[in-house]
Amino acid sequence: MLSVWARQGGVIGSRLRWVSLVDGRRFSSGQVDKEEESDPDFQPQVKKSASDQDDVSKEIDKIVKETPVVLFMKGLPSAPQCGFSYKTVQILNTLGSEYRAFNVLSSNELREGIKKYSQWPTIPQLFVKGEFIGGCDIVEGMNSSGDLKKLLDSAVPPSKDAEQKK
Amino acid sequence: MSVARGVYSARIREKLTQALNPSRLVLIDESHKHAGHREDSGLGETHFRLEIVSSSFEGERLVARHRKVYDILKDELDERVHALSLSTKTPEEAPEEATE
Repeated sequence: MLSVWARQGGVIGSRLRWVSLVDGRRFSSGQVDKEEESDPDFQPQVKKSASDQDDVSKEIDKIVKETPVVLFMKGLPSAPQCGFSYKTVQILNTLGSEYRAFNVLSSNELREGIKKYSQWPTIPQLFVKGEFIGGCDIVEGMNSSGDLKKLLDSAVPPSKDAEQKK
Repeated sequence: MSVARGVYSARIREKLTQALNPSRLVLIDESHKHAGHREDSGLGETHFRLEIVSSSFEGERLVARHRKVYDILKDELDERVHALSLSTKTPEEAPEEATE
């Protein structure tokens, strides 16, 4: 678990254990960290104070503002745990934009924290350039209209991405 | 696919009807599709598909429309419902669907 943190360069405060922090595109399919398999219901429960919740909100705020495209989902891009998260990942992968995915099932505080932060009760949730975009239905709708591609390209310029691959 | 008939379905219909005065409201219980889902409590009424046509959505973007529905159904979402697949349209956007 700690090694994951080290690899990620401690983007988030180490007090929060969102070990499923992965880059959706670079995550090789079928590879699931053993940590992800433990059900959150069986993990030790610690009562959170109001200030802890504020801290979670601050961490989330930092993540969505520092990362162009962020998806909060159930499971991992390579192994979504819910049909709606699966659909959203499929769309993002098809559009080829780089995004960062967080598994809300890995942490109850993240799962509850993200709902409070966005004032949106369901998962998945997509953020682009610090702004809440919507859930699965909205992402699907924006994909059909072409608006999603435009938005993602504005967040992560495709030409720059292509150059990096060369 | 089955037309929703449970306790939560009734509550959802009642609240939405009162708040949005919809010209069309279709609620489908899709919980069976998610049976065995890692969060499935076995109680059902966790996943719904919801189509609403209401003039109260006029001038609102999709996110605002969905938020409005989520606000109305806050208690149901807190207690039981995990997922709502939402279609929110104004009568102008869904003229052929506006009448039953």
